[in-house]
Amino acid sequence: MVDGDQVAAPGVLVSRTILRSNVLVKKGSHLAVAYSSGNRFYVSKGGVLSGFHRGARDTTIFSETGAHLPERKFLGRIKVVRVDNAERAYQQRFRELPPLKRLLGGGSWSDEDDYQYHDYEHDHHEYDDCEYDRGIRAVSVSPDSYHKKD
Amino acid sequence: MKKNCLFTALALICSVAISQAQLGSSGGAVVIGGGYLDKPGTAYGFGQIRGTVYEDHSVAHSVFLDILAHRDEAILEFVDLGGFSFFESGDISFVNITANYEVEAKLSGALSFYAGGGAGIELVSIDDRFDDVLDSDANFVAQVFAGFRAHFPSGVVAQAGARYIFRDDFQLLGDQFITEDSLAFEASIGFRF
Repeated sequence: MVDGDQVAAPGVLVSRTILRSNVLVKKGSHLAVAYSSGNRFYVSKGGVLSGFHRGARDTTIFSETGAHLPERKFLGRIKVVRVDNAERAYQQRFRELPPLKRLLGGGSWSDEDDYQYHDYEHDHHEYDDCEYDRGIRAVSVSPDSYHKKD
Repeated sequence: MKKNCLFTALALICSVAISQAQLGSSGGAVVIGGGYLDKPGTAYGFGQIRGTVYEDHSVAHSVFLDILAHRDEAILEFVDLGGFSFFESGDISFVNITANYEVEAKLSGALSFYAGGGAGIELVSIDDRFDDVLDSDANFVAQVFAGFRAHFPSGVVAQAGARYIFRDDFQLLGDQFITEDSLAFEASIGFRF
C-alpha cells in the first residue's frame, strides 16, 4: 500500500509496508502493519491497529477512545492523537489542522472538540515530580532492561 | 532518612579521599574509564579521584571517590487532561557514587594487583524526550573490585579489572523495578599527581 488513502476492509488485513497514506480502520477491521512511514492512521472504537515491529517514521495515529493500538513498546516514536470521531477526522483529513492553543506551558491543544492535538513542542521548566508543566501526567514507565516487580 | 544517612556517610568518606589526594605524602590520581555491565548488558563510563593513604615499595593503600553511570531506554505512558493516554520514548539514568578503599600489591616492574570495595548511593532518574526529569530515586549500592594496574614513568597509569556491584531495586512513577547484582568488566587510564 503506497501513496494511497483507503478504508481498511473488515477482517484482518496484513500489510508489510505502508507509505504516505491515510488509512481508516473502522470497527471490525484489524490492520497489521510491519513498517510505516509518512502515514496517518484513523482508528475507530473497536478497530484494531497492530504491528510496527519493523519501525515507524512520521506516523500519526488519530484514535478514538476504545480503539486497539499497537503494543506500547512500538509506540515510542509514533504520535498518538485523540479524536472523538475517527471516521470524521478521516473525511476531513485534507482540511488544515486548527491552530494550536498553548496550555500550561509546553503542551499544545486545539480549540476544537474533534481534535486534541499534542504537538510535542516544549519549553524547559522546572518539574514537579511526576506531574509537570506539559499539561500531561506521566503515569508509568517501562524500561527496556528492567522488569516491574509484581 | 536512609538517603540522608547515605549522603552523610558518603560526604565524610569523600572528604577524606579528597584531602588525602591533596595533602597525602603519596599523592593521588584521577582516572577515567569505561566498561560493560553484564546485567542489564550495557556499557558504562566512570571516573575516580584517588588519594593514597600509605605507600611503600611493596604495597599501597588508597581511598577514592568513584562515579559510574549508565543509561537505559524506556517507554513512558502519559495521560492528558482528557484522560487519554499516549506513549513517548524516555531515558533512565543510573549514577553510582561510591566511596572506596583499595589495597594495591606491587608485583614485578611496573605492574601491580589491586583489590578493594566500597559503598554509596545509586541515583536513578527518568527523563522524557525533552530531557525533563519526571521522577527519581536513590538507593544503596556497594561494590567489590580487583584488577591489574600498570604504572608508567610519566605518571600515567593504565588498569584493567572487574567489579561486582550490589544494587537495590529502584522505584519510578510509583512502580518498583527489579535490579540484579551485576558483574562488570572495565579498562581505564589515569594520571598520578
